[in-house]
Amino acid sequence: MVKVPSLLDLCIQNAIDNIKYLGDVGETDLNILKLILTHCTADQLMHIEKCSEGRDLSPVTDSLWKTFYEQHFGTESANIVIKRMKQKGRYFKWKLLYQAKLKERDEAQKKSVDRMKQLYAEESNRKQSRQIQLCSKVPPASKKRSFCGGSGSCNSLSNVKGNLMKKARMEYLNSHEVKMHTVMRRQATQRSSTSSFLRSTKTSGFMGSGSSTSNSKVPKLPRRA
Amino acid sequence: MRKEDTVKLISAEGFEFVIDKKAASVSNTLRNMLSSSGSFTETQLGEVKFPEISTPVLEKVCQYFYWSLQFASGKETEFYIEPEITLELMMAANYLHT
Repeated sequence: MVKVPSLLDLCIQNAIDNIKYLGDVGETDLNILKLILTHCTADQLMHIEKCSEGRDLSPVTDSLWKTFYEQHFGTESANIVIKRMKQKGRYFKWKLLYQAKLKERDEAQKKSVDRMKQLYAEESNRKQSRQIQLCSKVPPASKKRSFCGGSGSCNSLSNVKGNLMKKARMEYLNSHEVKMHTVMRRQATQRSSTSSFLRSTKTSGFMGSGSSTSNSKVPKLPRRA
Repeated sequence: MRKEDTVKLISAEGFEFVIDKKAASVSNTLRNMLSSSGSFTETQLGEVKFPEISTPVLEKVCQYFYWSLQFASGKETEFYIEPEITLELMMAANYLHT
């Protein structure tokens, strides 16, 4: 004789399979509910109880909530709670105890997250303050400046720069290479001015800058002041 | 189907489902109601009213009866239940001891 599954069993199984869609359980028999609700997660159970308002499911769900409490917060914590309730003689439903504990844990977590954020922010501020920052003013140069006029830093600053540049310029001009170039330039200008002089004798001065050397063939002419 | 071999199941909305007595007997409650030894009104009239069971649920119950007979005879198929009617069907099944 084949055992045909009863319609009730089929429905119970179906309900368990679709447990995530369960909401208001209406007037469903408590014994049947027990069979189904043991397969819920805490969130699902919370949802079902909320949707089935007007009906107290705690005869079935209280023990389930106790199990959830123990699973999520530890048996030790649950035992402490039981002890406390016995001492004070006040008993609460495990659903409420679970919700309260969850809230407490969430708040503690939030606090520690905020603290972490704060520490990170402080650390990054500290790092930033030690970073090199660009200034608009050029910072004072080191030892060399301290001899020549400590007073009026701005003046001495420009003086030093000017002096340095002058020195550099003099050095450059006095260098051998530059001297050679200057000589060559003068010779070149003299030659061009000589040719123009020969062309027009009436011109008084010659064009070009003054020269130090002169060709013997060319008569000395008064220099232009 | 002869009238003597059938029963009428009436839903809350007044829908009438005519099924075999053999199918109806799958339910213990119905079997007792309809057995000749019983003296329920139902036995005489051959009809049972279910003011608490809605039409789609009662229809599904009837489907189950026939599926059950099929299953018992060896043809084992799946009986699909729409999630929306699961809870109501469950309560009806509980009532009918099916």
